[in-house]
Amino acid sequence: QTNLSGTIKDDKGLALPGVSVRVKGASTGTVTDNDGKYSLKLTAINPVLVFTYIGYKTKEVALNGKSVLNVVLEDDAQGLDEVMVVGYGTQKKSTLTGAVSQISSEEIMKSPTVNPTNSLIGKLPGLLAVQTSGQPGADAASLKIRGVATYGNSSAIVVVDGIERPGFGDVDANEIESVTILKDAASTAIYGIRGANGVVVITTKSGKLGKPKVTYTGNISLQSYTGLPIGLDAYNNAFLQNQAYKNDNQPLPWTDAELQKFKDGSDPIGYPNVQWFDYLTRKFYPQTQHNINVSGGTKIAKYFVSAGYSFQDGIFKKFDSPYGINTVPNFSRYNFRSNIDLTLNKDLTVGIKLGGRFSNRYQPAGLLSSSAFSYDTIEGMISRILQVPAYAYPVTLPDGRIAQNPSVGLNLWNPFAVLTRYGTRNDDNNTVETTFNLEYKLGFITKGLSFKTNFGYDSYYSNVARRNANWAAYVWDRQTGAITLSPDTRNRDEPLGGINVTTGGSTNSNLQTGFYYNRSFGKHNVSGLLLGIRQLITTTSDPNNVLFTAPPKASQGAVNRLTYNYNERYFLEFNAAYNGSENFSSLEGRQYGFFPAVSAGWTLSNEPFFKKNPVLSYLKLRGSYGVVGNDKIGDNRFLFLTSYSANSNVQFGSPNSPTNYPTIFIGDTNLGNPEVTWEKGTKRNIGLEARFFSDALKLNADVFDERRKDILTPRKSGLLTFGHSYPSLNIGEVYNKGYEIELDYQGKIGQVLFGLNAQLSYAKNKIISSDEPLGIPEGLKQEGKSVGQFIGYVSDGFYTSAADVANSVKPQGITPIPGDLKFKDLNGDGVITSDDRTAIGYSNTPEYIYSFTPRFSYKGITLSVLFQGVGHVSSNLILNEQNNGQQMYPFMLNAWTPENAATATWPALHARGYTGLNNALSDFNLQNAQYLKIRNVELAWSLPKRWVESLKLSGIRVFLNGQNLYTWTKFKMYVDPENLNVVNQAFPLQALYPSSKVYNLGVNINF
Amino acid sequence: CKKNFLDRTPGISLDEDKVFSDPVQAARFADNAYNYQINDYARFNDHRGATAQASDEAVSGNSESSVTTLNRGLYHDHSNTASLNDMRDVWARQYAGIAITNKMLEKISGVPVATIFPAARIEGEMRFLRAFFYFELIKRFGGVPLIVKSYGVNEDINIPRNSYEECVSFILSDLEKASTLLLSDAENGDSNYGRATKGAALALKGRVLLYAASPLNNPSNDKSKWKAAADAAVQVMSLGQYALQNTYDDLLNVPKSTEYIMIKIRGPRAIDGIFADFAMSPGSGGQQGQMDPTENHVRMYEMQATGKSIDDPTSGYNPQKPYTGRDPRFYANILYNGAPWQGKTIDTWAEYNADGSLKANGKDFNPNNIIYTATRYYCRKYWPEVYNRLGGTSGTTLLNYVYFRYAEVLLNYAEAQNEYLDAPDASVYDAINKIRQRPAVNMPVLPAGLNKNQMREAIRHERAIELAFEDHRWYDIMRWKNGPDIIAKPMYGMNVVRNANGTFTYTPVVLGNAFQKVYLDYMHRYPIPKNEIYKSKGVLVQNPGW
Repeated sequence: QTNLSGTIKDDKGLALPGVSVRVKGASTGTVTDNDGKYSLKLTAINPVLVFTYIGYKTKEVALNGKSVLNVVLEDDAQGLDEVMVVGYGTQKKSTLTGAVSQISSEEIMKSPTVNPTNSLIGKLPGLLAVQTSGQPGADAASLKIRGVATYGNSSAIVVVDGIERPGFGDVDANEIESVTILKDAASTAIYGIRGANGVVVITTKSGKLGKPKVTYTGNISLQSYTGLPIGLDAYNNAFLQNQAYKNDNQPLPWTDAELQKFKDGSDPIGYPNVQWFDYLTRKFYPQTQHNINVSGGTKIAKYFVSAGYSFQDGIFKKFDSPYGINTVPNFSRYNFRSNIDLTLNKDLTVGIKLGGRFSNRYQPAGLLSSSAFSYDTIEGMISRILQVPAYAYPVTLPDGRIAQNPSVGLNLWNPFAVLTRYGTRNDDNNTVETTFNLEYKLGFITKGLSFKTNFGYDSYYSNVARRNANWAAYVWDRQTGAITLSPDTRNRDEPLGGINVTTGGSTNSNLQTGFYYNRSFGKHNVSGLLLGIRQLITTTSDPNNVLFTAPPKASQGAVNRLTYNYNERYFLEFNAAYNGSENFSSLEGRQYGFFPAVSAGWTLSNEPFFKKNPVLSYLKLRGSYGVVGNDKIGDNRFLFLTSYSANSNVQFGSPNSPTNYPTIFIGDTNLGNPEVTWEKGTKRNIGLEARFFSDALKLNADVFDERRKDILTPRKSGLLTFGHSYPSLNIGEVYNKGYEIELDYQGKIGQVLFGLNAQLSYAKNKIISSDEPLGIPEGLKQEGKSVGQFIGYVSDGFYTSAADVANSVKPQGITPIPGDLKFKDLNGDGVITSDDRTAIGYSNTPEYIYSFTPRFSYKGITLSVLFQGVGHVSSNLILNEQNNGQQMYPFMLNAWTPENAATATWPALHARGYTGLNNALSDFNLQNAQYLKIRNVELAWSLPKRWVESLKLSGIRVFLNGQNLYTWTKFKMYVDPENLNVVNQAFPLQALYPSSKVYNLGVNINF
Repeated sequence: CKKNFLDRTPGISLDEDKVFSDPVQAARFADNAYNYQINDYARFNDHRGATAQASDEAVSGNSESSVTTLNRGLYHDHSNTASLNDMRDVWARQYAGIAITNKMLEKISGVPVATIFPAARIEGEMRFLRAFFYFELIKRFGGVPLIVKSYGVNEDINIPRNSYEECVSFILSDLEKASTLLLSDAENGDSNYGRATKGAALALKGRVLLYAASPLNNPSNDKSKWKAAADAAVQVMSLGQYALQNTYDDLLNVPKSTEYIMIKIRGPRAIDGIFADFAMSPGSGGQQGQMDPTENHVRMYEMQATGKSIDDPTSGYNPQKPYTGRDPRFYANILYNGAPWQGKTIDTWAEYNADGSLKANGKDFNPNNIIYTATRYYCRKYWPEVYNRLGGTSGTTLLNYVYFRYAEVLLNYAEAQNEYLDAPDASVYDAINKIRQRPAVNMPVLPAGLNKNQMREAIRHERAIELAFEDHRWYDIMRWKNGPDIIAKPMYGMNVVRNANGTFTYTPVVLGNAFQKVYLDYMHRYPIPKNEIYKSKGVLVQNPGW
């Protein structure tokens, strides 16, 4: 008998507590203590010792007579023993039969973005993450899994620590352990009525056995913006305006002498050249993030406690405001989290996860208005700033009064005054998310059985406070120099008025409780779960923002999973949910649905007949089939009820003081359809996982399709003579299919580790039916095309001459001029009308998403560069000269004129009020919005151990990283086609806040 | 017993039984039908876009697409782009109103008796409104499917169009009944002013019959149809309840008038909307002055002294003093260069340098900015003088949408009677001269001895002037089938140049391409909304030409 002892560390030199140490082929074993130390009495001679630890590669070491054995375990984050988060539990990656992708905190932390949704872009195959805006505090990426399979709501649900939550964009990235996306029926069926659009699962960090570890992470960044449509300088703008008026045979707006003044700047008040965007914005603006957390654990209590602060400054410069308005939009957020797990005895563990945050988003803002042209959003403000041409007016008159000129365009108010004198808006959000869990091992009943409860109770509160002011603007007459008060509503100075507050919020509770079972019988491994679930969301009743008056949203049901595998060779799994929602009729069979999925896997490389070989080291096939639901049928409640509404009126009596006679009516959505139900997606998936060359090359591939049925569809085929809005019917159908491929290569030359990760995802859908009237011309139909497919004219070059105009087919009711776009007469009726449109380009949902990430590491230095792009996507964000101020853009410099007829790349410009079709959506102006970006770069250096130890620290890592650093695109309008106007579609489409480029310096210190 | 966890519906919803078993609710249900009337002038795109801009009366200064689609003959696209347009929306809105009246008429007998639910009046109102809804449909589309009962969601409502004549007789039967059930304004009482009356039912009947007798709907020129129209007008005239108001320039702005037969009741209006964003000059703080009367319309105002057209060399018209001595209704309807307004003048002139470039421009015009008038005119009828953003706050006033006023009845009578007779009789002259001799107008009477054709021209001309911008002209042109002669002609504006010495030179000019209009010979009727044709699987038949 000999005594053996040793210490187990990871490849970074940190002691690993809790590592299982076993003698191979014997029952002898122990686990390491808090310092990673173990000791063991051995009876066998020269045994082989097996060290296993979750997340690390298992290591077998022959003792060879030693009495001290120190072992370094290699991280196996990409390995098969990796624990994958799945619905209501976890599974070992090697046993998965569904399509699941996961990334760890390390990947997330590579992106210096305040909003962690933006760290997911390009990192998870099958996830379409698009950052549509860069506004501080409102720059989350929209997340869609496997494209879209419905023309209804296609957004994925988000689950944080097992509880469905509205999102995770404001969770501090330092708190996140992993992000997992569930894609196919096998992985989403357990979410039943809510899972069809896929599920994003966030798991926050927990404490691990060991001494307290204190970690500080600090980031200081500079932000810049990716791109915006910025107009020409005053001279070129005025020059093109003259060109436009000349084309239309109208008097020219500017004389040569005036053009000259714009050119030489000799009269900066009458003939100014103010590039408003440059004048108002900064090239760089700061961002900071700090987080400090403590984690550790004893046999009784494990803890992870974290506090974070983030601050994002905005794009505008700081200007003095007479009313004290801060002209810089910004966002600050405080996060805290306390995750505590208590092991009360060997069978009973309880945990509390408490995550909270409060944030304030500030912006200079104009009046809240129901009009489409509201300055209440920063997007609206930017849109208007970008429409004010450089020639419009100076910033101020020589005496400092605000300049403005209504002759330039409608409501083109002085952008400087808009920023400094229009008002403020503060959006406060407070969130507390609480998760209680309890596990009681019922091994005394039968081995492997346990009882678990997970209860979430969340409180969300939001508060929007607005204040508004006004300013007096003065018009400088260019010719005479006379100064007059602006004739529009900007005619008086008025300091900030009272605070106008709207509040909103919700309280959500979610209970999951039931039994888990996990046991092996020889080579037969069985597990299962059966839970009852209940969810209740009490929220505001729009539109009056009265808190907690709307009927709560409720759902309940039962979920079940059964898994079986034989010797990790054959896998079989069954997932199902039976659940219902308050939003459907309680008639028999209408309120509850059953969503089952079956899946199977076969690891060929574990078969006895599979010869170990250096080329193919691992091979697994898997497949799944099932039905999943989607109950997001808009925000409409209780569509099954027919009810009369009582809130309109008609007036009678004296016209000067009429009496309101209240009326009642059947509202647009009030004619009930008791049959209203959820969408059902039948999903199929086949996957392949393989490893080659001793695991150096890994391949994951999935092929899927989905047929989504019962999409709630407004009756497009219902005749208007009915006189009411038809109740929507569940008659829509969309078919979606695609694939995902992920390749990862890891190599080593000398001390240099290098690797490449490459991902490609493709999803394309087709509307099978959407209740379109039968008679619609084929080209104009949505059916048979993708959701959001653009439809427009097909161009046929420019009209080259008056003779060409005379001899060619023309749009009805107008006579084009040479240089106008010529279109194809698709229906052959001799005239161009809206019936001559057909499918052009793609939709604005990309069909292809790809990324490739080379990575290198040498000693303590690592470098990774994430290239990410999309393909088969179009954008109807098209700028033309018909905007309010006739703002002209650089690409218009090559608009058609008789002189450059052969080389023109843009149609002839026109005076305002043009009624022709140059700017109608066509294949000429629909933009190819594909792009490739250097999405993320990280260069990190872990300081040598001896330096660190001399500072009495356990680790220092400094890193430089960046986000959205460079974009390649064919998009003509400006450089970032990723940004879309999603806030207010009625607004000019350039209403957007550009994404930030972020240059970041960070440090991570382990105390 | 515990409530089902998923049972979260608000327990207070109002269902059909509750509505019609309660006289209060039932009366409210009935009143809602009024909300489906077409009740404003500028309506195509919220508060912008009026039929006057489709006709020869005006153009859309900034080429509002809801107007230019009509101007270009792209009626199908008018349906797609506007938010309260004259095709799809009218079709939908009238049938929605019809559904309410059908339902109410079916339920009326089951509603418990109560004073708050005057069953006879309500039946009269429902029949009047249903008739009005159908009339608005047939005046645009010709014969339409007659939906005369309420339909369930699953019932087949795909029925073919009835003929124009069938629709007219259905409308007339409703109006016949309504005119026996409805009371007068006086009998309705002050708090119910604005409800349908017997006078309104008869006025509508007269209008329906006039349209039915018009060339579009009476190709064989059946004179009995004209007779019926004239008789219906006489019915209104002989009620003795209505008379022309003495003044003309405030016709849309008074709370009550002897001339009003029925108006939309709506309180004084705020400046935002039709005024600031449609009718007003930016020179007065308007956002866009896009309701721009044409020179074509302006030229129709005669000289007051002679009663002659300005095209007549003996009229006394001076082309360089074009706004002197015109029909007083010109000054009530049009704002022109030099018109006194809000303590200043309307300035729509421009001054040019020798090289033809712009030197200066009046406060109400800028050739390079489409928020100013395109024709040098603004529409005073849509812009009461109190609406002024300069210098602070604006007053408010009424701008009534007039469903029927007495002058129209006189015009309807004159037109129908002249067409019925071989030559105009004294009653025709009398009706027109009454209008011309309204005290505030005081135009010379029509010359004696006009033949039938000359009188037809005189009546149509009088109608164009008297009812200018009041939502009549466009539909009159359609029913007269003379769009090709009126709409498809060059649209003119007035070029007003200020000379170096401060005088003005006036030159009528053809407006730019964007303001010219198309009117082809099939456009006398609107197309049935194309989507309805697509839905109907061949049952609905499109109007010829579309």
